[in-house]
Amino acid sequence: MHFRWPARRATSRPEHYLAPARQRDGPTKISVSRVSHRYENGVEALRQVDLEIHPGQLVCLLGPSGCGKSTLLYAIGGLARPTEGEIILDGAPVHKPGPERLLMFQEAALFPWLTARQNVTFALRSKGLSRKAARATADRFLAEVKLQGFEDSLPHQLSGGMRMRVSLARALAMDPEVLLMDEPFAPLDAQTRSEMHQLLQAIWSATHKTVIFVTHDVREALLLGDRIVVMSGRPGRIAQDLEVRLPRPRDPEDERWVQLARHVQTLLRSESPHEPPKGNASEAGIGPTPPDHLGGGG
Amino acid sequence: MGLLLLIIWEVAARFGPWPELLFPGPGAVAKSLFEISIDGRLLTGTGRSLSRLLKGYALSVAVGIPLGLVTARVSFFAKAVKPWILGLQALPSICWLPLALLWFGLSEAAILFVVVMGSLLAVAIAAEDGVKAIQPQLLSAAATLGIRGPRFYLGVLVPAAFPGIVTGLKLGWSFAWRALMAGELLFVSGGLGQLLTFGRDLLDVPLVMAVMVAIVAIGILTDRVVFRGLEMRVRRRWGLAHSR
Amino acid sequence: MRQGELRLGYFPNITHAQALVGVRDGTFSRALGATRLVARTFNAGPAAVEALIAGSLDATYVGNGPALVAYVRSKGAVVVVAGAASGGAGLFSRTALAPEALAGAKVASPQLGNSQDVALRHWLKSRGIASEVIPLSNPDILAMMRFGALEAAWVPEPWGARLRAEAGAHLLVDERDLWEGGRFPTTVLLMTRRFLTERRKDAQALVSAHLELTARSRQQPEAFAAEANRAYGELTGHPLPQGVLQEAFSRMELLADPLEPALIQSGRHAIELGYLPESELSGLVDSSLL
Repeated sequence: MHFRWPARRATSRPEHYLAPARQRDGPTKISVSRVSHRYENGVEALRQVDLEIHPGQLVCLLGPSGCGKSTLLYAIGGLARPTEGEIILDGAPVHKPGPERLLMFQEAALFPWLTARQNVTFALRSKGLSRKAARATADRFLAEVKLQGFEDSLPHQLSGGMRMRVSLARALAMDPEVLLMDEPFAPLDAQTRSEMHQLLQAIWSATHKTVIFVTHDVREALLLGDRIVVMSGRPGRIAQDLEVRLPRPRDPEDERWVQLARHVQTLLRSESPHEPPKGNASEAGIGPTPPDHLGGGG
Repeated sequence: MGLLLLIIWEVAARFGPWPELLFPGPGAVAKSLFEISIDGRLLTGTGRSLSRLLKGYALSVAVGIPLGLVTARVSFFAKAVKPWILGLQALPSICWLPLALLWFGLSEAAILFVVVMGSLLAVAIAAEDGVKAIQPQLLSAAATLGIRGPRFYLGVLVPAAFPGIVTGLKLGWSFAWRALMAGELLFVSGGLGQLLTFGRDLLDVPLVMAVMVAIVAIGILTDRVVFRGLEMRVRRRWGLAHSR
Repeated sequence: MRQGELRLGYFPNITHAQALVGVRDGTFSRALGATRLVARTFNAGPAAVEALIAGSLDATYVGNGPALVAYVRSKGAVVVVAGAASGGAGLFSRTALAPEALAGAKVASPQLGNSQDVALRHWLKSRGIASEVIPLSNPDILAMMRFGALEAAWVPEPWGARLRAEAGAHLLVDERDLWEGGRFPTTVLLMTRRFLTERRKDAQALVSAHLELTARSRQQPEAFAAEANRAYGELTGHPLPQGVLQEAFSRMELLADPLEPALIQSGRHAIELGYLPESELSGLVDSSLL
């Protein structure tokens, strides 16, 4: 792996690592203002959401299922149009998908009739790359996600983790400025998931793309996020906006990290009194129900 | 088992209560099949029928698949056209024959019209179902990857709907085959259907049965060789069935 | 064969005039006495002879073509016991004024292997004219001729008269001109040999009624034609216009003579055309009831 990990720093008090996010100077990458969304069946998914995201941030949207976090992500991706409010990207309003944003789904969403390499090159060719350039780029990114030797495999011949890695390679190869991730690692087993976490951190550290990562898993948010936006459900609102000041790479065995996880868990519980977490604090899952997605509405 | 059935058939034909003239045994049918194979009538008839079938079928596929795709993707078009497609699909294709005769006269075009009307709508409906069965994630993925226009239709929509389309191709083929036989029985010169009529009109029942055997054989053969193979390949490639 | 019943087939067609009149006015029933007449109509020869061979009919009026086919295929299980009509068929064309003009054109006959089909193909062959022969039902022939999709057709009456009246066709060949004495069988009365031997009395009654009807038609041709047309109209819903009826009957003759030499001659033509295997036709006619 040729990414460089940032150096480790030592700090004393746990509260120090988690603080309300401060207003930042400098340009805003994505600005969400007064966004509300109501599904056709009348369910209110989002109410008056305001959010500013700066270039290069890795923001985790954390909340229970049904809190509208995926809806917000799809709206930013341009795949859903909110009923009210506006989303501005680099000064221009968002209405549809664009090349500077790329959404990754809970499933790998690979084209099943194309091999791993063809999945990447097909996407690249639609950007106008030549056959040769597309192939070279595809092989480079497949190598980056450690899939050398599997370029010619069909998706169904790969494991779930490998498929997700192809999907990640495809997303990275497209080189979007903003990566929108909708619980992409949720269906993976613990070990694969942990590998994917490391991979994402390394890639993000090297490229500093703007990333919005939706999850219902506190530990995942604390592991990945610069900033954790906690949402509460029915209707979806922003409850807390926190900055994580833990050094990277973050270690789930670290005592400070475990304390933080408990702390956030408590915060979450106070935000959603009707939906107590099923596991204990150290388990840190908010609920085992399947995560919300675009068409769900409930 | 098959042999046993043949023996029962032969015995029933010889000693059964029916006149052997109207219910010949497998021996007589095989003899007739052999005769029409030798004198070239079977080959000529099969050739003419198949060439008609291929023409009509190609037309059905060329029009039916785009029609199905558009119906699945363009909702105002679907609203206008879908009721017609479903309504006309309920019409046995041979009902088009009188109209075909009036519009096209006693020509190849008339029989092609009947074949096309028999299979086009089945192909279109299956293509539409194929599109409807596509995982929404795949379409979202294509959208977020910025795949649009012809690249989207040919590179994503058609292959993603392909398992459904293959079903339509198969269905369309068997509908086309039936429509053709019905049409040939009723008028057109040449072809297997007419060879069958020939047998009936001349009370040559072994010939009728021989032609029926040939029609069944062609149906099974195309299903086994062409469509089963295509289906297996698609299923394997698409990961719908596990390869050995 | 069912005791106490005679099952008779015929077509709603004026070449079956004796059957049309006899079934309607009860001539057959009167002649049969205690035996009940069960009459069934058919639209085409093959269906009628199938029914006869399968044992669903005892006798049927039918064209000489299907009668021959049935005799040969059943190896003599059916026999012609009387003639019914002669003439009443010919080649009608839309534009062709000479036979040679039919080369390469589409020419129809009402049914593969029927009397007109054999006549047409034999005539084309003997004159060396290569036309495309299409078997097509009579109503379709009329529609296609009207529409211009068909050049000519060899049809029985009243279709010839209708082609002239409704499709602007003209008579190119009158089949009577092709036969010695201008007579050839168009319709015959066909019976199973079993019925003929085992139910001789009923068979005789049927043929007597047939003879009586034929005699009536010769004494009062116009009244008989009108009566046949009434029955025809009741069966089909459309009686023929007076002009068409008269013209059709003018080319046709009702008779009880099976015209055996001509019948056998036309059988030889069918064999030559490959419609039937080589067979002995001498037992085709049994005129013992006449």
